[in-house]
Amino acid sequence: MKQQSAILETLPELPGDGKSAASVVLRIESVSHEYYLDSAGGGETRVHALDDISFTVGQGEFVSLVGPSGCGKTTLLNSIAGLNTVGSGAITLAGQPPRAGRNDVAYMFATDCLLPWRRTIDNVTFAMEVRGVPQAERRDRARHLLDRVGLAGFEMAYPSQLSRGMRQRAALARTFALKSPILLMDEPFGALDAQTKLILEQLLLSLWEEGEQRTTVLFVTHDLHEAVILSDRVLVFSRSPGRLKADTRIPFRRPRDPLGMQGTSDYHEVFSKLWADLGTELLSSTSSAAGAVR
Amino acid sequence: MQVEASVLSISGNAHKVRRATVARRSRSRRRMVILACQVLVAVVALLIWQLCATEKLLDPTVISSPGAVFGYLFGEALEGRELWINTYYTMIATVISFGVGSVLGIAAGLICVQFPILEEIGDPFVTLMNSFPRIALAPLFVVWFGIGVLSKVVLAVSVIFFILMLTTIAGGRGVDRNLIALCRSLGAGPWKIFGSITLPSAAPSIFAGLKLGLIYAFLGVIVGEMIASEHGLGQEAMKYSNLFQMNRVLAVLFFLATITTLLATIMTMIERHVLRWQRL
Repeated sequence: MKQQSAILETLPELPGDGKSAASVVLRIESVSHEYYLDSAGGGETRVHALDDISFTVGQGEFVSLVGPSGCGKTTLLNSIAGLNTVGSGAITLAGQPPRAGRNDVAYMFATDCLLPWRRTIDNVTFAMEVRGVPQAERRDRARHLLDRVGLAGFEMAYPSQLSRGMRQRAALARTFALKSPILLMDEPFGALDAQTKLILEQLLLSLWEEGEQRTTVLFVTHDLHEAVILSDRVLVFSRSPGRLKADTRIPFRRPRDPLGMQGTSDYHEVFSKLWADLGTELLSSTSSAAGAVR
Repeated sequence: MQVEASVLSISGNAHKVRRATVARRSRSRRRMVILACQVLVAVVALLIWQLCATEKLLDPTVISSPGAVFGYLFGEALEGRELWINTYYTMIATVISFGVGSVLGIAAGLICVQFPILEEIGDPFVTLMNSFPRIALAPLFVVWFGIGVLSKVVLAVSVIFFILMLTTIAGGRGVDRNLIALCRSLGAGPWKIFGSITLPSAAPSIFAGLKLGLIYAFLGVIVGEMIASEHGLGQEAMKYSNLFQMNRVLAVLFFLATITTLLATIMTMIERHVLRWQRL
């Protein structure tokens, strides 16, 4: 590791690198999952989505899962959220098995999931309403968060009046207003153009960094660039079967400046190392996909 | 950088708002043009009709004429008691059947949306009953329920119920699965999901059904009255038809159509208010 670098972190160890048991928030133990697809021949093809995945995430860590589409990373995230169950293995989240609707977990989807019949502010309060936050507090938190994400003045707008980027800002406000200590994100910026994406990544980082106690984030994406900018650790998945191919620590100091980082040689070094892992998966994925169909 | 970015995207939207004002102005001008054309079409149609009658291009005893129809309507009919009494009876029957048919139909539809197994069980029966030519059942309903209000209400309800049930189911089926997933991840129970996601998602479709249902409520009631009834506009039209007084028949029907249009307009206004999030 280079010394005295502009962006490299000086601390050798992150607070929770899965090494001290006390700070582990999420523990994935030999999780495997497979599903069946109707094949052209009339039978069924078994798709091995997740194969013996094990890793841990420490308190306050920002961990990204990257991999080619179809590697099962969203399946894993949904299982952690309690929205579906995996074939085998154990998932422990803050000492408990996953369950949908836990108060300590917030989930952010690839689509903004705004209710079209609710005004922006009512969309932000909606999540808190389901969680049973008192009404006066809901309003206060929603106004504060909308202001933070740059939507002050758009409280009374309906989602159809907002641009795609603004809608995702509102979704961010809704998610962070919950103040859940664990945050699961499934490609939240996947549908945005490159510029809007960068701005929202920056916004996500600033929201994440401002909390008194840092939220633990598990972030699914297929964008390696995004993963490197945001994360403390990047887990690279292989495709079919989805195995954990690499677990790489991103040693950049926080708070980070996504725009400035991109120009540095350290960034390029980390990026190309990860790209070497992921790139082979992307290239081989076409042949293995053909194999699955056959 | 952060602030700059926000300002950028917001000023972009201020632009949008300004464009919306301009669009609104040109839209109101467009509405005036449309209204003018509509008046023109109506006047021309009436003129052609009048001409056909006075020039005897078509038999005036059969087609009557606008002069005779509106002369009767705005003279004898609106000043007399018969039209008003019959309107009263028709309206009572229509309002009751529309209310009962819509409430039952929407309720049945929502139950099917919430418990899909019931919809699957009921599907062949619903299809069979909905395929029944219910208008042809009118004479039977008269035998069963007499010539009072009940028989026409039953006839109209039997039509409206299925319209509302099927449109409600269609609306409930169109729910965005992502919104359901969001609710589940937040820990919302089935009734919370129903109230905050399923019902509002189905609302546009339910309103389409209600507008259709209103027209069919009148249709059912009028047909019921034409078959056999003590009172009602359908009965009045039938009576003058048998007497071959076409101007009176047409006057009654025009009057009826005006009432229906009025109610349909009120319905559209309610719809616009409830579904205002859709028009933006």
